[in-house]
Amino acid sequence: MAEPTNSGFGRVLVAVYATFAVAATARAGVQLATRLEQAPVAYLLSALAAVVYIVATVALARAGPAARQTATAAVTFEFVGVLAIGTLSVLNPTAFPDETVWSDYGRGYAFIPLVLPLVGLYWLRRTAGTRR
Amino acid sequence: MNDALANAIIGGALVLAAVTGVFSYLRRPTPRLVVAAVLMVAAAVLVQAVVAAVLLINGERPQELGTFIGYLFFSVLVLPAAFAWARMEPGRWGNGVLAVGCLTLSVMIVRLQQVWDVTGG
Repeated sequence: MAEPTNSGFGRVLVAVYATFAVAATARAGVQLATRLEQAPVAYLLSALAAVVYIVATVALARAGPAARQTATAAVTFEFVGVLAIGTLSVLNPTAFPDETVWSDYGRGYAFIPLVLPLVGLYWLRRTAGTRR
Repeated sequence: MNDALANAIIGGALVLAAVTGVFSYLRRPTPRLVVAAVLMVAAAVLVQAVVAAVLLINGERPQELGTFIGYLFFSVLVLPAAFAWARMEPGRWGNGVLAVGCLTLSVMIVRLQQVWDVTGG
């Protein structure tokens, strides 16, 4: 049987995800509201990151197979996103003039954005209840 | 911004992060005294938000006003949200949630101070 993703260690994980959902949303909101024209692509990616964190937070906080699938997709996307944006921002810093949550692999957030999806995937696997 | 109050909140939140971390390690429910301390810090954050709001109304302006208001708004919500989420699972993980909330709060107040110190002009 699959175990819920939102209790035990999952409760702490959801708290961390919620923190990043709020942080990314607030950051993207300020960027889009005050200076969208300066770097529209970077700020829209910033908003995308925010949406991914929100979806991951809600999906991890809910129990059930559908939520688990959603969470797996969101957390996987998050990992791809932090690697892609992180690499782009290192190779081409001018494309990302302002920090997003995923810039430089999440350096501005103590690299938690880089580690978090790995922890999330580990937890989803751990609670899946399938034999490995 | 009142630096003394902000520093007290940062210090208190860091101490409480360590304390709840220890109780998480011990798998013990959060002692009442620690809960009271968390609620006191939450109250102090509320006072700070009111003080900052009054300063804003009186015309003081950090350069990044939107960012400042964002930090101010969410700093008030962090501990109550962590507290509510932690209560559902007292013991190791509830304490863990409180520790995350306290650490988050301390970072937010540091950022709040930084944003405030960069004034326009």
